[in-house]
Amino acid sequence: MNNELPAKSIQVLTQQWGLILALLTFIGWGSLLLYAHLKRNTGFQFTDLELAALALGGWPLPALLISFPVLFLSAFLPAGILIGITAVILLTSGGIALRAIWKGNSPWALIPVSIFLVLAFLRLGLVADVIMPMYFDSAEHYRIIRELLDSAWPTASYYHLGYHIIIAAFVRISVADPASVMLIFGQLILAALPLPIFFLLYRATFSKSAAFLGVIFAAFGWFMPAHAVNWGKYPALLSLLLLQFTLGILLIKKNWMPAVAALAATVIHTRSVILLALFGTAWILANLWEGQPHPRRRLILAVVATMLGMLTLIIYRNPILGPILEPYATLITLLSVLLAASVFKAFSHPIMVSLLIILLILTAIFIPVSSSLTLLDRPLAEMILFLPLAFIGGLGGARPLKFIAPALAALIILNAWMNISFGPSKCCQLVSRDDATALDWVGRHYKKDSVIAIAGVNLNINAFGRPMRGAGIDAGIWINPLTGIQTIPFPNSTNFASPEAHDQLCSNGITHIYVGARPQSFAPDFAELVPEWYETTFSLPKAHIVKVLNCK
Amino acid sequence: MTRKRLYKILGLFSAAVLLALATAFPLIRGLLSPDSKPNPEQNIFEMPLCDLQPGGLCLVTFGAISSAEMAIVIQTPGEEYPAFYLRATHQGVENTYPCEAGSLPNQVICVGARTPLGEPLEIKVFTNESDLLIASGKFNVSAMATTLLGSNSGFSVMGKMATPTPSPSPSPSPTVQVIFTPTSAPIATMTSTPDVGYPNP
Repeated sequence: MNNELPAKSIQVLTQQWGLILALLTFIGWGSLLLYAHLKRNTGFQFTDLELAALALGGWPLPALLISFPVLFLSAFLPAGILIGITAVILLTSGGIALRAIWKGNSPWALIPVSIFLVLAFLRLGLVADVIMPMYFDSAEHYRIIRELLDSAWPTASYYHLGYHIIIAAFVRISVADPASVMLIFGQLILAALPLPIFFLLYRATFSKSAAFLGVIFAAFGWFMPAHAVNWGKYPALLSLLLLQFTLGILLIKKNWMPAVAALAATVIHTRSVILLALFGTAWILANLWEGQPHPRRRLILAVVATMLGMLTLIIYRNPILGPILEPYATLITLLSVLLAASVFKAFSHPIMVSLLIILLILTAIFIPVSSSLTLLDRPLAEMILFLPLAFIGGLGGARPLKFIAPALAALIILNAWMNISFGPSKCCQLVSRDDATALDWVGRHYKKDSVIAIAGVNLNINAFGRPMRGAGIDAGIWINPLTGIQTIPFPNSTNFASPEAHDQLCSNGITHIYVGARPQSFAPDFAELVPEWYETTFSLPKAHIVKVLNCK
Repeated sequence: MTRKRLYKILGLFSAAVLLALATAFPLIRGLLSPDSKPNPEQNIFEMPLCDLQPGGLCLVTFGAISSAEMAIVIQTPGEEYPAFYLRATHQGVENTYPCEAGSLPNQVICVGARTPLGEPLEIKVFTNESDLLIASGKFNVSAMATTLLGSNSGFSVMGKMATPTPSPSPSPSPTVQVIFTPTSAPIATMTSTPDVGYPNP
C-alpha cells in the first residue's frame, strides 16, 4: 500500500527543501529551548532521553510565544528588518540554550530526534499528492491566516487563534506560501505527536522498552491521528502535542510551566481546556479508586468496563457517532488491551486512568453545551482516542521478556505499512489540478465584486443539535480565501434549471456558479439545458464556471 | 552508552538509510536522467501527457473558455523554467497561445483558438525571449469538457505574453456570513438526513 511512499517523500524533500529546513529549524529551536530549560531545572531526576522526548512535544509553546510579537511587529517593520530581528532572537536564545547544556549530555537524547526525523520523512510523502490543504476546515484556516497577514491584528474571527498566529508569523519570516506552510507544518506535527508519550510511559514504568513500544503504538497503531490532516484539523493536532507536554510537565511538578502550557494549548485549540479537565478528572477518580479495598476496586473496575462496553455499543449503533470507533476496531486495539490486561497488577493505576479517560471522552460527546455543540465533537473524540490506547499498549512492553517489545513493535509497523495508507485520502481532497487552475483563473480574471455560488451540504458532526449548515464540499470553498471574491453556498442538489433557482441566484446577486467534480458538486450539465440563463465561461474536465445571465 | 550499543544504533540507522535509498533509486535515476527521449532529428524535447509521464514539461489537459477559445494547461519542471508561449497547428492552420503562470507551482495555462474535440493538434513551445523552440508534442484533443457553450462571454484573448510568476496575494474581503437558508419555495431536493461530516478513509 505504501510502496511509493519513500519516493514521494524524497520528491517533497527535493521540491520543498528550503521550507522544510526552515520549519525544522523553528521546531528544533523550540525543542532545544525547552530541553535546556528542563535539564537545567530538574537536576538528575530525569534522563536526557525522556527530557528530549518531552521537549519535542513542547516546542509549540516557545513557537507561540515568539509568534505574537513577530506578527505584531510585522505591521510596522519591513520584512527584511523583521527577519533580521527574528533571526537574532532565535540564534541568541538558541545559543544560550546550547551553551547551557553543552556538556554532560547523553547520546540517548538524540534517539527521539532521530525518530522524529524518520517519522517526518515518512509523513512528508503525503504532500506530494496534495494540491491544497484538505477539506473545508483548511479553507477556513487559510482565510484566517490571510486575514492576520493582511491586517496583522486584530482579526474578526477568534477560531483557534494560536495555530493561525504561528502559521502567519512563520509565513512573515519565511516569505513562504501559507498553503505550503500549512501542509508541511501539519506533517511535521504528526511526526512529533508520538514522542511525548515516551516520557509519560517511562515515568510510569521506568522501562525504555515500554516507552518505545508506546511511541510505536502512537505512530503506527491506527490511522488516527494521522487521518486528521485529511480533515484539516491542524489546530487540534498541534494542541494534542502541547497537551501531552502539559501532562508531562505536571509530572515534573514545575510551578508555573503547566499553567502556561495549558493556556497555550487552549489558545491553539479551545477544546484543550475540556480535554485537560477530563484528564484531571480521570486522574482524581483513579486515585480515589486506588484507595479503595480490593473487593470494591474489582467492583468499580467491572462497572467502568461495563459502562465502556455499553457506550461503545450505543456509539456503534449511532450513524453520526459510529465512525469514532472505525479506526480502533482493529486487532491492534485488541493487542493493546491484552497487553494492558497482562500487566494490570503491576500498573493498575495508570491503566485505570487511561480507561477512565476513554470513558470520559466517549461520554463527553453526549453532553450538550449549547443547541448545536457538545463538550467534545465526534472528530476530536475520534482523533484523541489513540493516546490512552497507545499508553496502555505501551505498558505491556514493561514485561520481563524484553524481546517481546521489539517483536510487537515490528508487527505494528508491518501492519501499518500493509493496511494504513500514509498518503492523502480521496474522501477529503476537494481541490484537483483542474480546480487549482480554475481558482487561479477566477482570481485573475473576475471582478472583485463578483458573487459566486458554490455547492454546500448540511453535515452532522455532533450527537445532538442542528447540523453544520452549508459546508463547502468542493474547491468552491477556496474561492473566497484565495481571491477575496464573495461566495454563497447553495444546496448541492439545487435544480438550477428551475425558475425559482434562477430567481434565487439573481436575488442574491450571484454572477457565477462554480461546478467542481466531487461526488456532491453541482451537476455540470444545467447550463446546456437553459442557455438563456446560463453560459459556461470556463471549462476543464474537472472544473467549470458558469455565468448567470438575464437577471431582471 | 557503551561503544557496542553505539555501533549497533549506527548500524541500524545506516541500514535504514540504505533501504530508503534502494527504494528511491528508480526516482533518483529518473531525476538524473533526461526527462524524455529527445527527438533524434532535431534534438527537441518531446512533450508527453502528464498522465503518462508526470514530472518535467508535460501537457495536463485541454479546457474550454468559450465557444471560440480553449485552454491548454501545461506543467513545467520547476519555477525556474523560462516563460513561454505555444504555437499549435491543426489541419495546417497555426495559432498562437499566450501563456500565463497559475498560482499552483509549475502550472501554466495557455489560451487561444479552439480545436474541435478528437482532432489532432501539434503543439510547439517557444520561449518568450528569442522565440527559441524548446519542446513539441502531438496530441489528440480528447480530454476537453463537452459542455456546450453559448455565445462569446466577452473574455478576451490574453494579448500579453506573461512571465510565469506567482499570482499576487489577494486582498481579502471582510468575512462573509454565508447564507444557507432554504427558501419557502424549495429549489432543491434536500436529502432527508444530512450527511456525516469528516469521513474516514
